[in-house]
Amino acid sequence: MSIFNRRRAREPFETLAERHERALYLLCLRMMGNAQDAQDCVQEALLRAFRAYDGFRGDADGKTWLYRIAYNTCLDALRKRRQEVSLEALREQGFDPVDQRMPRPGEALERQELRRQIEAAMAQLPEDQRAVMILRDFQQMPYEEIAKVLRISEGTVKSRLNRAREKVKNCLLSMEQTGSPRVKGKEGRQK
Amino acid sequence: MMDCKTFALLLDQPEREWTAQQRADMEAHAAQCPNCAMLLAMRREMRAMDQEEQVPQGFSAAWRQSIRAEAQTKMEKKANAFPWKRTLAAAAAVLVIAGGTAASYLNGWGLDAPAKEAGRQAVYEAEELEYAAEEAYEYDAYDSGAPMMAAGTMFTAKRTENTSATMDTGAAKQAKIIRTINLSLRTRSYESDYQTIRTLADQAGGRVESLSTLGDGSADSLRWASFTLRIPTDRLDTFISGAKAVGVLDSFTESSDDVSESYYDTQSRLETQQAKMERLNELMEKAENVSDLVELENAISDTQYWIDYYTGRINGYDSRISDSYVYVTLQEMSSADVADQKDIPLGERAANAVKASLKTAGNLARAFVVFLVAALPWLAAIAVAVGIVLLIRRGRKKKQ
Repeated sequence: MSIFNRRRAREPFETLAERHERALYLLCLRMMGNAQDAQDCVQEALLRAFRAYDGFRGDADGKTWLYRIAYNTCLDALRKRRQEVSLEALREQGFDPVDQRMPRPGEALERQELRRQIEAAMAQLPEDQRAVMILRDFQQMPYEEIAKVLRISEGTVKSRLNRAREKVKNCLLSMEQTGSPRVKGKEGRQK
Repeated sequence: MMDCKTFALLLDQPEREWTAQQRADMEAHAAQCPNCAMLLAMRREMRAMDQEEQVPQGFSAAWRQSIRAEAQTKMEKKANAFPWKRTLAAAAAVLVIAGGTAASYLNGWGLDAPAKEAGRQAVYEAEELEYAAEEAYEYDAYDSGAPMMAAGTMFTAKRTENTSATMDTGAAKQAKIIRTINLSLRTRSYESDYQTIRTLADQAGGRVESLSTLGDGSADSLRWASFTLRIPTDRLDTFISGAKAVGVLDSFTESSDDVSESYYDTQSRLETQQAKMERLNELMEKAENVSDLVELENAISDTQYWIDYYTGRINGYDSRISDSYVYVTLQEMSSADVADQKDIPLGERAANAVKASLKTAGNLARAFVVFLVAALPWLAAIAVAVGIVLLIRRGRKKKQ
């Protein structure tokens, strides 16, 4: 297919964004740890994507392309956040993104606790491992697609995922035993 | 009993793909293995978390609003920005069209005809000069007895002086007229018209004295032929009327040179020399000593020279009088010439005008390709520079 045909066949940007908005929001939510930052990131990512849409030739899948932009936007935001104030410092100030969301009625307390623990453990992960885990374990994305989004090999995806799972599992087991998250090499937060 | 490795492998697959047996085995293994139980719980909970997560209210509206605002800004910028690309493209188009039209005009529509006319005029003038020089040469030789002397300003005076003596006797004799014709023709069908001229000359009993041709008939090299014909004077008018009908008559000139005076004067001098020769021969028979014989031999030799010279002149005159010189030039017409021709049907003129324009466009395109090839090293250098600037800009954008 020629470039012209590909361009002609391209769907309107809003349609593409609408189809993936929820998945992008969830990616940003897990990456950023709170709903407000997630919304800001998605908005920024979609704005970046819209500006670049004229040059998007359709070689890549629209979904992969949007995910990559969203992931990069999250990384930028996290970098900026680190420069402004560390996450640890925020927590010391009483800021807990997980707790800011409303508890869902009907959720069993146990499950609520497990989710809180999972989110806390995820927050301890390096960003590249966290991204792999979100895309695979939360969103069930195929390895091939994850590799395209993150621009790494499938082998790297699998190894990062194994490391991430191991860390989160250990953290959860540790929390079960002591009531506080403990990630290898790091002291967890005592709630 | 399932082991941890198999459990992990199955866990990596979507739960909907598990069979009932696999699910039962995994549950049984998880009940025994706290690590695997935690992994299973994690996995299920993570999936559930995403499925149950609600997108905040106003989220869609917010990003849509920002996109639309951006689109609006983009459109305003575009509307306010000076359309460089379009302006440049339009300027280039105008340049190509104007350049092509001008080139076509210069090639054949405007300046071509006057230029050709000037060229032809120059040829005629050169021929006239050549003819005058020839005449001067002959008269000079006649006057001084030195045939190699150059034509000079005394030529006219000497001619008058020498011919005046024979005026009385020549008036009663037949006029000797040399007719010379110049024909300039343009043709759309060069080959057939070229043959027609030759055929007409043959039919008139004439001959081609000299012929020169130029061009190969290609687009850039139109054909041209120059005939020097000798046509018997009594059939000259028939030939001329036939030749005028060939192609498009560009110009026609006829000159009639009355050489009667010169002719009869030469004839008279020849007769004098012949009479002198007879007397010298008589004296030769009567010579008694060697010195007289030698002197008479020299005089006879000189007289014979002049007899031969005047005979040659008379023969030359006779030849030019009986067979006229006809100079014909045949020029193949270009598409632009055809387009300019008023008496050619409009359709054909238009088609030829388009052809001429296309030819010019082709020439321009070829010239442009040559220019591009010549400019390649510079373009490559510019491309490298632009690439570096873009890379720097991208780097800065990323930093921002």
